[in-house]
Amino acid sequence: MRYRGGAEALSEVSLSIAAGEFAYLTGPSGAGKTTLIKLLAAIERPARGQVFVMGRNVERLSRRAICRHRRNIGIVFQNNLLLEDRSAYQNVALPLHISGLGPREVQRRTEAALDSVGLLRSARKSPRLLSQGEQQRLGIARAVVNRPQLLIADEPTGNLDPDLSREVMQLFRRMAGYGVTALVATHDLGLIEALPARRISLAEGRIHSDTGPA
Amino acid sequence: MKLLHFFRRHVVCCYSEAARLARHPLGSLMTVGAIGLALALPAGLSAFLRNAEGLAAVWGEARSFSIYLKDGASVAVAEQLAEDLERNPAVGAVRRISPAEALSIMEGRSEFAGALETMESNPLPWTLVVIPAPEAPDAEFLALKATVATLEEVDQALADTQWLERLSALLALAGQALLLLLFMVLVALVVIIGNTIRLEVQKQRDALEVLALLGASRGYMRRPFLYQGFWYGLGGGLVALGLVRLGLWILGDSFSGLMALYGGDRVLSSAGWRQELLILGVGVFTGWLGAWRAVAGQVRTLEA
Repeated sequence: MRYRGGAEALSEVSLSIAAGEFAYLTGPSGAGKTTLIKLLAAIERPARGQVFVMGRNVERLSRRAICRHRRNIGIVFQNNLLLEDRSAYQNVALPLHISGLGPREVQRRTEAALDSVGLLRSARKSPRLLSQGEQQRLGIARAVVNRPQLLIADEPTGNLDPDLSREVMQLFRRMAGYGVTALVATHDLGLIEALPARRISLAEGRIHSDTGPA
Repeated sequence: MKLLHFFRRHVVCCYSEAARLARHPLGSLMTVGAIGLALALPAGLSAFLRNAEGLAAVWGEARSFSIYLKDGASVAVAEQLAEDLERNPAVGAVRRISPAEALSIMEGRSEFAGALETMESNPLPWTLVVIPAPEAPDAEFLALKATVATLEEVDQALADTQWLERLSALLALAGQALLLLLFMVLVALVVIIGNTIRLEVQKQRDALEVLALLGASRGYMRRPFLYQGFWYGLGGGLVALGLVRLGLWILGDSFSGLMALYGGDRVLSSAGWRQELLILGVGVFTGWLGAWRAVAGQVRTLEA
């Protein structure tokens, strides 16, 4: 995988994460964490090699299959990517609407997801009116609302206080306990030590270390 | 159940887009007004042409021609010719005017009074006024006139139909011009609506990118913009209908007055529900097409 300028973003990266596994992805800025996440979500395509997600070769997915693939993945984006002209509730409900769920199911799941990140009371607010931490939690609620098979989070606790960071990470681990594969990119070594799990370290686009499945 | 959800999603999206447009009333009304004015032009011209054709039909009687028999032609000759003509399918009626009757008509008109007093005998011939059948084509009727003019007992067959032929040609030309105008207006509307929607798509590009990342299909991303186009088109169609009705109402009295001058009692007719539905349909279709043109390409560029 190369950047537009031709520099290699990822090279000789070979790893597999089992279904229901919880893993950290660590490494300094520019190590290739976000690129790996983009490959998994079929946002980018590899120049060489193959990426299999849930048994499917992402590179060979058709346009429609990519849409379905992304609906099966919950992504917590680094900059949250919330829609400011919609309420917190509408932001979280988006993946459910995209999946075509009925209104009752949308309401039930959206409220549950908002509740799980402590934002049910702010459901009607615009993300603009929420703090950085609340926006991050909103992004997490949107990622988990559709009960994804794979949960990918890019620095999900960057703007959260330590208590909330721990709570969010425990939420991810709980989901892994229900069979959801979770890959969390983070710089927060304290959090990794507090909640140990498999740790894949990237450096300069290569795997530096991998503690292997826990 | 899936079908129900499908329709529900479309209804919700349709309603949401109406609400979104209502939140920006000035911009929306200006767009709808521009579409309405553009649509009203061919719609109004179409209504005008239809009424003009109706007017020509009322003036159909003016297509009649008069046959002047030769001096001394008998009643029997006149009656025989009249009966022959009445059997012709292009002929609606034949009015017989005897020399005496013609004289009395002329005596009733003051401008001829002096001239008639100087005559010793009635110089007027038998006259037959041939009125065409309503559905008789002009060409057939004019051919009949030419044939009659060659008959031995006929002195002259006269008609002032040239103006009517010109009117018919003018109406046919206007009909073709209308089609051309309609085509140009439709293209302009697709461009107007397309550009309006394109601006909206560009404003919402960030949101569309998020939707694409969340797995939204092309159809899902296009849907709100297509409904925006639908509302613009429907609104424009309704404005056009209103303008056409207003125009017909304003011209109604003048038209009735004109008809009265020709002895008719026809009133300016409205577009009719079929035509009105067509105007709305054209508005909705162009709105949808413009939106599709604007959004389809933009959505394609969002895909990885």
